[in-house]
Amino acid sequence: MNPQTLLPVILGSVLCAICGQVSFKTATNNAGARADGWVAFAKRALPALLVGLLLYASSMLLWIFALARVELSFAFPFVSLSYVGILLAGRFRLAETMHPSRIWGAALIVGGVVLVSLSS
Amino acid sequence: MLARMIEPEKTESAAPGARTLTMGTLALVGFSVLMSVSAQLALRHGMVAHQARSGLALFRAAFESAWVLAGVAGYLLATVTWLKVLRRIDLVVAYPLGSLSFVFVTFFSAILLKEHVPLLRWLGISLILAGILVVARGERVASARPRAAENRGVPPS
Repeated sequence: MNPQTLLPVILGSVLCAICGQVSFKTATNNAGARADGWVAFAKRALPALLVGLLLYASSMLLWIFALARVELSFAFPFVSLSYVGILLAGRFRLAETMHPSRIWGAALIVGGVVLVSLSS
Repeated sequence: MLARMIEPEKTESAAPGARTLTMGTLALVGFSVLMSVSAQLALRHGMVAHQARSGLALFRAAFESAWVLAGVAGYLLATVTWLKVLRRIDLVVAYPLGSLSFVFVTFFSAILLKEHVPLLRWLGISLILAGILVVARGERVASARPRAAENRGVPPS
């Protein structure tokens, strides 16, 4: 089978992993300090934590599905898009600045992934 | 373990140069990369036998495969270890070390899984590595500003 037909599944898996990580980060932020005891701490962290776990599980299922049909050396380089995803999440959620080396780095990673996607 | 993951970061670690790469941390990095790479190889090795299956039958077969279960366990172990690594060293150091998994996965896919890796794929992976190095360099600039790059590390795979 043409590995390119599995691209939506591979990209979906990577996207779920990125969003899962952002959820974990959100859980950390929401939780704050533990000064008011474990129960209150867990209550603040729990919603985002559950979303994160759900996203990670979806990511894993999509990944397993993809690996039944495409070579690992084709699929795995797409994981590097998570570096780009985390930069974008930092840019839009934490309002960090995108200085040149981040933009260049992200462009190189995307360029590399495009080359891999053409290699079959 | 999860409770540990959601604990807030310690703030004293933000001082530049305070988080140096010790042998202990290097061993953790090695363990995490090794786990991540072997997990991916195990997952593919376990799934390649089931490529004709679809839908539920595929997932049933997946979760009856010892290779796939070992792969999922290895992935979790690698992720948890990596989060520990990110608390000990800066992204400038962590990103290039983590990017080694892209080289190892491709190399061992060719050797152990007998995959044919075309030149174009290697070229793409080289660009990806260069990109990660450039991003890591940017994190040095970012971490010079207070608390900008804190706790944003990418877990391997």
